[in-house]
Amino acid sequence: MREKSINDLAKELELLKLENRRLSELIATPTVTSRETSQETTPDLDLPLSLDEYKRYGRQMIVPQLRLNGQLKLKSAKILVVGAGGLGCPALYYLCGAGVGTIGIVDHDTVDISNLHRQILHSNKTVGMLKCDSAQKKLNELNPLVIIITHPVAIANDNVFEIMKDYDLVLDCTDTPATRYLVNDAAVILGKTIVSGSGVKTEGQLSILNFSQTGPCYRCFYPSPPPPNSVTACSDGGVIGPIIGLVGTMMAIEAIKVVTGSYTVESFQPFLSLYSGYPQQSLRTFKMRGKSPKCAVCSTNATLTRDMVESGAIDYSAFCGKVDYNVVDQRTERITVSEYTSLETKGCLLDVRPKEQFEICSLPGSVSIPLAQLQRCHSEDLKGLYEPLYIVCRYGNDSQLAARELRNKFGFEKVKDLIGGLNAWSQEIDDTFPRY
Amino acid sequence: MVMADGQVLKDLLLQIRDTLIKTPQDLEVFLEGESIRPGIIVLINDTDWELEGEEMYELQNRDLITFTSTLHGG
Ligand SMILES: [Zn+2]
Repeated sequence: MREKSINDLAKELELLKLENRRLSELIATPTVTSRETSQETTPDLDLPLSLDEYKRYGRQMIVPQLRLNGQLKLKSAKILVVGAGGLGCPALYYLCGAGVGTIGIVDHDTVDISNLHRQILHSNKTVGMLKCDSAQKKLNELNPLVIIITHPVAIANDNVFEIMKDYDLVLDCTDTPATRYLVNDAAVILGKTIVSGSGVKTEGQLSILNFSQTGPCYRCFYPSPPPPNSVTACSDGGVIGPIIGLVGTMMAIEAIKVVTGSYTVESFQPFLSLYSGYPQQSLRTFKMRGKSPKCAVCSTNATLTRDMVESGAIDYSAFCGKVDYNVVDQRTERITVSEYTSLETKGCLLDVRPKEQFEICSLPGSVSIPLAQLQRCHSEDLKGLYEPLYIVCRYGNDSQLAARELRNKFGFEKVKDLIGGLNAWSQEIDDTFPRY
Repeated sequence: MVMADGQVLKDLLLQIRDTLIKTPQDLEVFLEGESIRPGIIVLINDTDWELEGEEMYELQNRDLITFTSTLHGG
């Protein structure tokens, strides 16, 4: 009982301190003449939250790591979430539920049915709607006390600073290296901490970048971009919904910790966490390098400036590059799907998609050799192939790489690939063929 | 992997190249020239190799060396 009363006193003291701070601020701000006449406050105890907020956030405020003070910090925080996809959705949902005062969402995309297995703010009803609007709708239903600001544009050199400038913290929930460098550079230049997450297939990664302008940034970790052919997007490599969801959820935890001050400049240790869903779930947290003295954007020797970003002098797409699929003669070495169907001799149809995709659906009579396997095999492995040889993949990109490989390395001559791949097949020839 | 005494991480990279990697396509996933390719994170006992001397880190008995790719999807 004694302990309880000490706790009560401590709590009262905390409230009095807050009251004191508020009053001091009021005195210091001459324009504020009347107090917000909150109906719910009792006359003798000026509470910092409404009674509804005490109820709504009570279960997290009684956690010692968060407390009333943490709740007030969340309430005054402004967090920007870039990307309302597999990472952004769960992060947004938890941050909104937790009572972050203002949340901004950047996404130019619309909801597609193929997003729904992981992008949990969107639903059948919001397919076709802007992800920003779909997310805002869901978040307003969850917690009307949170201000949601939407930025339904593609984040780019010429708008990133304007979008980001009023927020305290940025969550990088984007999906390409180019955008990650862009978000990083702008956040570093504006002095914002970034909570960064990513994932594909069965794995995810989590980190905090540019922490309080003293921690390492994305460029400190990755001064040069990866070769474009090593980058796998969720649309190509696939992703298990709850895996990316878990990373987004972990991002929300880190955001709460950053905002409520659980890291300090002294205590913060640069880290990278790696979550694996298979075969046994595991989370490994690696101790990472600090700020690089050679970093192009965050070091004292930095060369990269806001002007260079805004003027477009820094070309992020060119910096990260992209796979060059345009390796065959577009006029003579390719064939449309309708030309293929009207051929008298169909020849040998080779499907170069990964075997998981071939297994989902394939054209009757087609032979499967995935591109990765084709690039590593010997001519005796290709004995089953004959000319004329037609190559198909999902969208008509990998089929070009495969055609070049078969021509240059294995000496096939009558080789053509199908423009637009099976996607075009389904749209133009047979709409009962699944698009996945 | 068994390594001779006094070898450094660079020796391990070359040994992996010479004994484990079979095709040029697999090699370019791992190395760029004789160095680790951008986008691969190297960890020595769960610590960024940058903090341990990178290629010149002297391998110790029972060291756990991890190579992992940066992920970009979201
Ligand atoms: Zn940096």
